[in-house]
Amino acid sequence: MKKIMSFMLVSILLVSMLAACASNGGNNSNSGSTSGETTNTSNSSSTSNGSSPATTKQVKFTVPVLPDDLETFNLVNEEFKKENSNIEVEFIAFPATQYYEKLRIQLSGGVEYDLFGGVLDKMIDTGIVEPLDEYIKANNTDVIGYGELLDNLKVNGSIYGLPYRKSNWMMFYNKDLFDAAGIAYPSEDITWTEFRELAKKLTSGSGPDKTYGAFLHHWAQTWYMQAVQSGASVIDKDLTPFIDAMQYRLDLEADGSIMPWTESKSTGTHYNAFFQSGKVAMSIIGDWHVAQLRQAEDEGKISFNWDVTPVPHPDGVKANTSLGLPVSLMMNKNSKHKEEAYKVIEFFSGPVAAEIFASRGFITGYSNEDIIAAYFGDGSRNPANIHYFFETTEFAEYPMLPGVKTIVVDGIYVQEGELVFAGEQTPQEAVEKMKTRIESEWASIYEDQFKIN
Amino acid sequence: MFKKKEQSQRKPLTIKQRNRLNGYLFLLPNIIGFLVFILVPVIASFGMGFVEWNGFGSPKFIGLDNYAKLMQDDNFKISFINSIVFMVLTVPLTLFIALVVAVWLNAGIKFLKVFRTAIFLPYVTSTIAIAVVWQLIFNPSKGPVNMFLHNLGIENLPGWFASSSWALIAVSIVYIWNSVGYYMVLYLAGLQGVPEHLYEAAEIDGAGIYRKFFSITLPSLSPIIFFTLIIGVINSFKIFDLIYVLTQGGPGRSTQVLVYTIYNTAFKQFNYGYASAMSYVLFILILIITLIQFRGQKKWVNY
Repeated sequence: MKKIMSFMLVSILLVSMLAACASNGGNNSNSGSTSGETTNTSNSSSTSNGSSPATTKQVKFTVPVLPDDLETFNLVNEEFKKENSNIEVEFIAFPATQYYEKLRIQLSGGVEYDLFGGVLDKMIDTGIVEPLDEYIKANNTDVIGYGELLDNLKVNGSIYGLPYRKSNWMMFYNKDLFDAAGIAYPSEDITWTEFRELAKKLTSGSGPDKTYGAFLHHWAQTWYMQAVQSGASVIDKDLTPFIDAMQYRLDLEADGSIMPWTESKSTGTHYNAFFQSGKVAMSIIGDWHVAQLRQAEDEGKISFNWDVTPVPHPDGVKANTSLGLPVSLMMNKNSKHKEEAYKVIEFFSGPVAAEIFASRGFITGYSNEDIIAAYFGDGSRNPANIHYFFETTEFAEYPMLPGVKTIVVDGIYVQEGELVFAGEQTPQEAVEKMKTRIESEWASIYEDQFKIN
Repeated sequence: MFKKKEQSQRKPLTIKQRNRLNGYLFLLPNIIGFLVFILVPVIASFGMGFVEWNGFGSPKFIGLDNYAKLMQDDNFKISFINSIVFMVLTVPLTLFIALVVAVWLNAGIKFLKVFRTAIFLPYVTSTIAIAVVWQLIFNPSKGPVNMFLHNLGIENLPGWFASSSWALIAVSIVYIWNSVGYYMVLYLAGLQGVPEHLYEAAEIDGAGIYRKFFSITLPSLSPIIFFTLIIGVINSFKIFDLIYVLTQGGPGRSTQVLVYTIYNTAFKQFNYGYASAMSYVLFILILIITLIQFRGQKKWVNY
């Protein structure tokens, strides 16, 4: 009897395993096509053509978004429900560092999310992102609120996502350190040359008690920023502006007014903890730092006064010219409910959502006076000059094309930059190498396929 | 299922058949795991080495292009060399230290258990914790290592993780410290199996401590040394976690090893075909080295 039982158990196990394999294989070979029932979309009636209100068709979307945005999306969702009873949206988040890995592996493994959030360049090469131009026209979506941003986000002439928020770079400064040194707060129109002088003056002490005039995180953006501010792009054929940009960081290190790259890298010094320690007067970092510092204030971790001012600019460039990175909602072209999906995109990146996002400290893609007012809040919280964030002229941190971030910025720029700051090659040598590496590692794969505008 | 039932009722299994069946049934869970999670992916990635695929749409067959591209690819060349250098730096030293420590512990010293645990502990410690601690130890300006070297009067202090000429060495040191315990336990187990009467006989013949080590201990341990050599080489090529948390392949590309580059290519750049081709080169590299070792074992391993 026992034997028969074990036989049955094993055969059941085997059959179920095989079945699981088979269905998996089927999904894999079908990935990117629309066959098979979707896992996350349930509908009672058949086609998505039923625009007549009589058919109350229930559609459910599960939408992955970046973890920092999840809570706000849920708040916006409450508003969305009031207007759209037939569309149910559930937002989910994956850990930020593996967000795109997980999203892409799930999508290619057969999980058919109709919508997802993220930066365009990490998703567009999949070929499953639906161009939105037609929907924008058909729905008469008001796109004026997005300003030039939407044009800058076009890839191969099409709009692939609507930006619900963006991050901008700003200069954060510790007011107490300025007061103690008897130096006036930095003005809103400050050049990189003036910034260097200021950083020198604010540096004092030595050893563990040293107070640095400024802090530049070890990311490549913090040094290449000034080249991009003057109009260069990280994939340009002529990269000469980046020589000066690297030299500038070296100069600051030589002045002793910033923590040397070798030290910040080998100690894993983080901009957030370091600024909170009160040992740095000026820190150049993104708008998300506002939320981090406010949280630190709530938890009583910092007691000094701080504010923001525009990032320094190169000579001849307009003040408050910054770098920005838009985050968008995108639609899966294999979705069976594209009309409804577009409604979700339109709403969650549109004015109602933007106001809620802004009130929670995010810079939004869509903007109008109400949204700006919501962003300022009642003025009771630091930083006092938060308005600068909404007044920037901005360049994209990098061209939003596939592979630029992973191969060019996080790969080539980081690696060649590191060797410069470790004192192992000159900026000229680095730029020469960057030029040939961009050509062979990025341009040879993507340049012909994807163009901006 | 009914068929099976009928069969089993018709012809009862002999004891031998039943034992064999039981044996296979016991092996089944593991074999299924092996088939599903190892063999199938291994075969699939061999096929994937001949296509260009980003996970979406249909893979494009490109024949040997991926392999041809590897020959031109600086990132791959650098990782390939780094992997080999890392193997040469770590494997002999790890095994040597593990053997010395094992023999020392086996000599019946006091607090044997304390030392054994202390040496094995790093092996079961979380990589993240290890990384944080070693980053502090190797801090070029404030770390204890460089403080010590400075006090010795050494002027050009190594930059460790922040210098492209030292980073791979620094990672190797951490790796050796991390893995010595594992090999030490294997050697200790092997030493327990060396018959005591051999030593006694040798002593009567007037053998000293070194003579005993080289003529009895080492030959008796040779099968285990052979095993650890193979495992050690394979493990050193598999290094990923320490690199990922300590240096991310930097400074520059000085600690970029093969598995790290494969990970980046597949899961950051989503170039699955190309990454599969790289994995196969790694596989063939390990296979060749292992085959050479098997060839060589006849000369020095005693069973």
